[in-house]
Amino acid sequence: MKKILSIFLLILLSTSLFGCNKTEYVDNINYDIDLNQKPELSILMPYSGYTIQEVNADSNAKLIETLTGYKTTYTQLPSADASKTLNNELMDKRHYNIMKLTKEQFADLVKDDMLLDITEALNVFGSELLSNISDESWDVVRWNGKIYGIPERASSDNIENPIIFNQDLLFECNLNIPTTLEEFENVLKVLTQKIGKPAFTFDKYTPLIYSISSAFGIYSEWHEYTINGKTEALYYMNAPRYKEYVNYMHSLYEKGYIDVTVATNTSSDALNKFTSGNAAAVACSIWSVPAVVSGLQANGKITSIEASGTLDNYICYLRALKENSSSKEKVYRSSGYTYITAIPYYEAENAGYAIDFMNSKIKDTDDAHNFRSIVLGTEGVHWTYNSKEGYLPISANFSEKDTASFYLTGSNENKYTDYWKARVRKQPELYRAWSIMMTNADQVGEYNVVDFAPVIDEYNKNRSAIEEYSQDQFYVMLREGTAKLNDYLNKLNNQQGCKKATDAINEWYKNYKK
Amino acid sequence: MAISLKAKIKKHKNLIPFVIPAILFALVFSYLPMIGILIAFKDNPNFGRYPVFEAFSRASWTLDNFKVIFSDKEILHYLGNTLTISIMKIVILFPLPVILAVMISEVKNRVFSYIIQGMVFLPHFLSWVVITGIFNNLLDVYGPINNFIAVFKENPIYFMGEPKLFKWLVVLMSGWKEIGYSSIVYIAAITTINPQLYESAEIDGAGKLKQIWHITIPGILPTIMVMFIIRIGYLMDAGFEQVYTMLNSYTRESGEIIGTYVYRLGLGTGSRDYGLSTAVGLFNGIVSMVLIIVTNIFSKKKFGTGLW
Repeated sequence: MKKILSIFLLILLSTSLFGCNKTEYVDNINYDIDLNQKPELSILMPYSGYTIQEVNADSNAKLIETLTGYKTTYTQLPSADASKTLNNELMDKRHYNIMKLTKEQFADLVKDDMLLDITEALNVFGSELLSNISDESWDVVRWNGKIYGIPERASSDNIENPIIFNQDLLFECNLNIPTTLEEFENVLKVLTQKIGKPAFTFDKYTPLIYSISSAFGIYSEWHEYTINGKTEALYYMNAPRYKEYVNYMHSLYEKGYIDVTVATNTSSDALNKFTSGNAAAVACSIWSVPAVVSGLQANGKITSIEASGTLDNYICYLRALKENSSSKEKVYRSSGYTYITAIPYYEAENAGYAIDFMNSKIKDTDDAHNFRSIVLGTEGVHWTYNSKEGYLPISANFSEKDTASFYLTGSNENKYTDYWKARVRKQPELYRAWSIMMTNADQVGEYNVVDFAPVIDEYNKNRSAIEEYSQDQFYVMLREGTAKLNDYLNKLNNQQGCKKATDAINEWYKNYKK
Repeated sequence: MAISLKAKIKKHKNLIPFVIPAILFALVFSYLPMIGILIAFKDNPNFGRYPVFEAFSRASWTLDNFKVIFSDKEILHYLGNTLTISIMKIVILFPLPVILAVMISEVKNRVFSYIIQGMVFLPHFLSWVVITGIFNNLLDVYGPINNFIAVFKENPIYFMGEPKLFKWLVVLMSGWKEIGYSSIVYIAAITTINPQLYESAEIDGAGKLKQIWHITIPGILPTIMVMFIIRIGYLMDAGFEQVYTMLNSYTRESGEIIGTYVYRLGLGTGSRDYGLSTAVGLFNGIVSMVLIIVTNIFSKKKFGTGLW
């Protein structure tokens, strides 16, 4: 019996060993390829919100096939547990020629040696990529001096986090959009009395309301501060005036001006409260404006005709508060890289084709406006141009281009911002919001230091712990005040790894600034 | 006199083929994976780039993972939360399916009985995300329950953001979801009781309650005991999915359990620290084993019966 059992165990163990012992892949890129013999490319995408059949059948996907000559098959990650799925796919060495990754996923994979070094291959196959993506952007995808991905720079550096007010109510109460902390408190006071409920709401993911924190000199998540003569980049919770910001918010909360359920509001909960009249002001992103417009319409506050125009009489936007009337207005301006496209190390054999494909997508010259066709479509069909306003969408057909940015693998930085404005113009109210937010953006906007950072291991490793912890503690302090702030900071810096992250970021930042 | 193992095997050799699948199952799915415990002593192996065994041998041996765990005082706090929630669930929720089963079996109208059964089973098939959503709406400050409370009390109660209420809500929601489904076993057990017992009890003048107390309950007591012992085995599992969907900034302190902590540590966005989460899992397992051994010794001494 013992014998049989041990033999059996041996078989079991050895099969499990063999099962894992797959063929080794070599990271050698094949340069000796004929670019006219285009293979079919398999592309892994982030979650699109559509079914994969729709993604593959989309007119933009077909257009890209025609422009590049490559036949493509897209696969997408699920909306939940995307990074986990991605890890599993790569462990199984699934066949993906190209993967469009978030910056976090990229950082995770590059450090584990999962991505292909394409520094040399770019010189051979990627001339358009090299000339249309800035050096600054290439620095973001470098790891140990080598390039591992194609950065996709944000379409436009936007100021995009307003507080939206109910203009109707402001009129009724004879109030203007507040500009200082004092005015803001006063406006909330009157509005709260008016609606009989806390006037101001936001969601559970917004521990730093830029429009308010800016008045305390906290403009972005990571920003440069000078404390005792030492200048360094710090996380917002470590900012010198963070305590004042939280105290201010706490006092608004205590006085009953802030929705008590902010810590459990989802983004749509917060917007619903605003559009249904349960709140008079909401802190959100301007990309929620279309949702606000449709929410107002669904609640019968505006008609469908009004919804298709601007809503000057219904909503208004507060960009940022100032500490007092003499101080300068400054606020966070977003930028950076939403996606990075990379090639798994085991697909080196066909990497040349993959780079050639992306190279041809980004090309935008007089003889081939590939990038423009993908982003904007055809002149006269999807858009028109006039020298004063730039590119204007033809609304009947332009919705076909709604999904276009999803298919990008690297953006043509010389052209994208101009093209992209046509997309904001699609909805008049969104364009109005964007224009208000972007007035004097160059003077007002302050960037987040890490938006331009390359992969910083210590930061990437601790990032989610830092963000989750500071988020939790903000909502706790909103309710209870800052009595325990020092304990929280201590825990943030030592246990959640913020100190290590801060050191690592500054190590990079001091060279970057030069 | 003790019989030797050999003699025992010989005596029951016809039965051996029947246990082989069970042994195999345990071997493959319970014992073989235990080798993975070793990951707890490794410095984050790179399972992505290399085959499992190569990644494992490349990573260096370390005790850092355990240092991280025990330097975090919170771990004991989370352990406390886990046990409190679990014990509350057992004490409050364990008897309820039995009572429900007795009640259902006493319903004389067949159709009504089926409708009730169907209705109480239903929540079991909803996922926790859905159930949390339902309760979020019910218990919202502007929701129906607070509208009702408004009749007596000026300020609405923020149920989901009240740390003191969190554990009770966990128990309440878990009860709503599972009581119906758990009662199936007892309903089945009750149907096996010989109806003649009830008839003779009636003749002897026993009322409904007396019948339940002296016939139904003793009749299903073995089933209750088996279910109870199985339930104790899950003591360290306070319901990961449920707690995970219910946690928020206010309730993290009083509601974070080992399960959600491991998840945040090992699989949360951005981090992939297999070593650390395995170490927490191992710690969890050891605590769990100690608890079960202690319970078993206690049960053997007190009631003369135990798991082994």
